[in-house]
Amino acid sequence: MKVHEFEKIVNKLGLKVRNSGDRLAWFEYDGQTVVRTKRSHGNKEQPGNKIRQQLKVNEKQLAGLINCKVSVTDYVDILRSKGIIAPQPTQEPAPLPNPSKTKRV
Amino acid sequence: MAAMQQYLENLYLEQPKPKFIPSPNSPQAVVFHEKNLQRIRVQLRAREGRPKHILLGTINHCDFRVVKPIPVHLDVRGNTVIASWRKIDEFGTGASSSLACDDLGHTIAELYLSLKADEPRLGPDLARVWGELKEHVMQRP
Repeated sequence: MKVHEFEKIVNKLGLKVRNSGDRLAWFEYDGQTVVRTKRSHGNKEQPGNKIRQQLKVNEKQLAGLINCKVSVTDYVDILRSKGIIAPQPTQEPAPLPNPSKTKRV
Repeated sequence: MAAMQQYLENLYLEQPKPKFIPSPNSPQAVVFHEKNLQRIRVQLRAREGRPKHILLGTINHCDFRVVKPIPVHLDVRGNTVIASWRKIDEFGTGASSSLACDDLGHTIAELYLSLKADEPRLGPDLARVWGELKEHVMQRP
């Protein structure tokens, strides 16, 4: 993986970054840190397979992230389907008041 | 085994031992003593390759101690060695195995500190990683 491809993913997913010994990047969703990855500084080739595993995507999905075929929403769905992001809670309808138990004033 | 038997036989004949001289271009070189030379067999083995798996017992960071060996998988891509801890999907790279392990050690230390700081708001997968990390590494007081 080229450095500019990594940076493309960082910008697209809105990953937060910090420069340390390496360039660290992590994805936050709903106030939680969900996945993290890194690349080394400089312009050398990055181990794409390892970065792909850290981002929890398959090869096709990684290519989609680089080629703009996979959006942030799609990525969230991918993570949700893998249990990396907790599934959305289904909103239960509010219980109807039982007329027999309601007190009359 | 055959070579070993031959060597023992030569010993029995009180033949002087060959002198092994390392050479820069070949795995090893042998110089024989000229007198009483009867018969000797030397077997040259191919150089052993880099191991695929190692256990890392220390990381290159003075603030951390490894309390349980870290299983590291070594992989080569071109001129780069990649040392990875597959269970937590963490890796380090370098020009040699030891440099890759050094980089992995720094990454582990960095990861430990960031996960510790973010502990209350980790997703399920990173919470698992944090649990695994604490099992293998501890921060020195």
